[in-house]
Amino acid sequence: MLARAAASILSLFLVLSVAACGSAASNTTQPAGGFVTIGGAWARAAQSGGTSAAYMTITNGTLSDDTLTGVSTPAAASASLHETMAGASGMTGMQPVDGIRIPAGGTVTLEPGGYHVMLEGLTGDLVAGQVVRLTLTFKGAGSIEVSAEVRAS
Amino acid sequence: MALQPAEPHEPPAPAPIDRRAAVVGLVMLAFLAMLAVGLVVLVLRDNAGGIGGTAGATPGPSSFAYADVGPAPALELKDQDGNPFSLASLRGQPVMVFFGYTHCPDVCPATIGNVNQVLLTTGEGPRAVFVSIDPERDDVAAMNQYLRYLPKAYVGLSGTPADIRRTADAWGVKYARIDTGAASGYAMAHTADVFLVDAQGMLRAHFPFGTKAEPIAAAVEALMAETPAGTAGPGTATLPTAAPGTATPEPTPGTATPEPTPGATTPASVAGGLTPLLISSSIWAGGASPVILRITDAMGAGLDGSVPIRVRLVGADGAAASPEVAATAVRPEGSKTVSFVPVLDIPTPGPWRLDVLAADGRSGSAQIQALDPGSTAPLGKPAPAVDTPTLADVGGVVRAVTTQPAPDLRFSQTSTADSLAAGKPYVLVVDSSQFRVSPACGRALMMTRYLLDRWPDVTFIHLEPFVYQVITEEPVLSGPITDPPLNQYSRAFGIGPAPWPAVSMPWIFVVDGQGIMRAKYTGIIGSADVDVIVSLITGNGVIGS
Repeated sequence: MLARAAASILSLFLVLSVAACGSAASNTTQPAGGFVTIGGAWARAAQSGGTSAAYMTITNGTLSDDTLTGVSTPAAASASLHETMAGASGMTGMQPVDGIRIPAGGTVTLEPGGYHVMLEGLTGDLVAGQVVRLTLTFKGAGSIEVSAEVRAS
Repeated sequence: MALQPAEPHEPPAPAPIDRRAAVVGLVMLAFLAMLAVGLVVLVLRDNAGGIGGTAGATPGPSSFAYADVGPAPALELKDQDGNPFSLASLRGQPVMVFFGYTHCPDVCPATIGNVNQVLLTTGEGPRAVFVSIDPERDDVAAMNQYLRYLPKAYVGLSGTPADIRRTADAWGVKYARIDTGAASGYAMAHTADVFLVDAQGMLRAHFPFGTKAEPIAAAVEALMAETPAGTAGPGTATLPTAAPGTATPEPTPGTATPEPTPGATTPASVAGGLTPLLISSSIWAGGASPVILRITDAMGAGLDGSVPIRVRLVGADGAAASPEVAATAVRPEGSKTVSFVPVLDIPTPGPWRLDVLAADGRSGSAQIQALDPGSTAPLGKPAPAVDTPTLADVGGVVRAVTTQPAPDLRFSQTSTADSLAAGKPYVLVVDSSQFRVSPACGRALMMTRYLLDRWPDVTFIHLEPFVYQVITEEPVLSGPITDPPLNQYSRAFGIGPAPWPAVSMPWIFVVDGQGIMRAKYTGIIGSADVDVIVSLITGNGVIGS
């Protein structure tokens, strides 16, 4: 029991120290042969109870494909993966996606007008300069915690 | 709806005519000289680009300008304080107009970010109007709350579903509710252009979603620099107009849909107390095309289907192009709204008017745009006799029938031929998650996955449209992604030849239990579309049957 608590404190410390020393606030995890790296995470300022989105760049430095399958955060009642797209009908819309595939050695960017983490039911105002904690779940790399800076746009 | 003609303002202190003419002449000379060396084009193109590079190369502002300048359509809705709004109240300064909704997490905030940047560049003066296309959730209070955190230059408009639909139609703006089955509710797909109205109320330019702030700011500044009305006609030196045909940039491949020109759109007439609202996302010329309408009365309440409705098609010359046909009233289980579905034989692609006639004497009309079906499987005729591959046909190799990451294999159990033999209707979803030839790819599949649970007596079939091989579990396209090879099944449904090349994915075809093609859709497809058609052909939810 005590050992488990100590281990989780230690792992928390490790995650935080990784976050602290990476100049781009990159968080990494290493399943086999390399790292899955998250960089440049940010979320858009919005009002409590409202809707917002978070964006980031995910690099898969491992030798096998990985898939981002989910996100959770204390900042919102619900966080889900969505993609914005335009179609032949001239409309722009978005749809939920089951997962975002990050090919081995590849980089996928979540950005306005493309893939994003939709945050619904914000538990408080997201004010520029704040930091939002997101837990990303990957099929291969497991959970990765990331700090997203709140920006106006 | 009263379209306000541009009233030429009296210039407050007119400059001497000859001096002003000299300035205009000099500007035009300089402009022509720059054009001669291609400078203008280069500079304008350098300023353009997609948001985060997603939209690829975007044309410069010159091609965003309308060649035909006309008065901006009306915006007679409620502002964020609940007061009646009219675009005429903002005369004297350029206005950026865009449509969206407050629950929008990505597209609308990106547009607002751009508009804010334009306002920072130009300083005080220009105004911004945010029109909600989500009347169900966005009322005056919601707009008021949302606008608290936006610059003072903003106005936020909301209205009844009928008012919003009429306004959007007049601007050439489309929107559709997208249900995803998630607990979170629904999203809206919508036209996300920024429209630019000049100080005299004329619609001058539009910028597709993905256009950066710089070209918009340049166009707004050009309008601010224009001398007051009465000197030169609109669209002269400062905001060059595009050559005809290039005024509507296509942001994505496969956008063969003829886009209505907002300035030229005639608002629907509501002479007879009914307002038909168009729900269908694809309406086809040449065949039995179902057109999904919702109809509201003078009080804005939706008709419940108790009064029979007939519909006739009217051409641009005002002559009826079809006999009156009865519209079927449909309310799918669990839906609060009644849809009316006339099945029309529309002679040619392009704009048409629909006259809606109620048995109690009330009437109304709506504008529609019919698409060119090309060689795609015709509506009202037997569906192509093909036997789509099932999971069993390919020896249980999942990747051979679907490239979806976590596939719902109920889509791959039954072939088109099996469903027909069993007398069951089928919904064929021609889409690919892996070979994304258009940004809409994979989305039709996501949406129908939710419908699959709603309609257990209908076969849902996923068809991968392209030829590919599965190499150690990885699907590999047998050709370039820019010109993907269509397989025999998708070709059998007529996809490929112009105007619907391989990159027009995704498609949905709805075939009834007798094997007749009843509906087809391309691109972004509203969830009400398929739901209402399935309800119609199964008779489950048809009112008065």
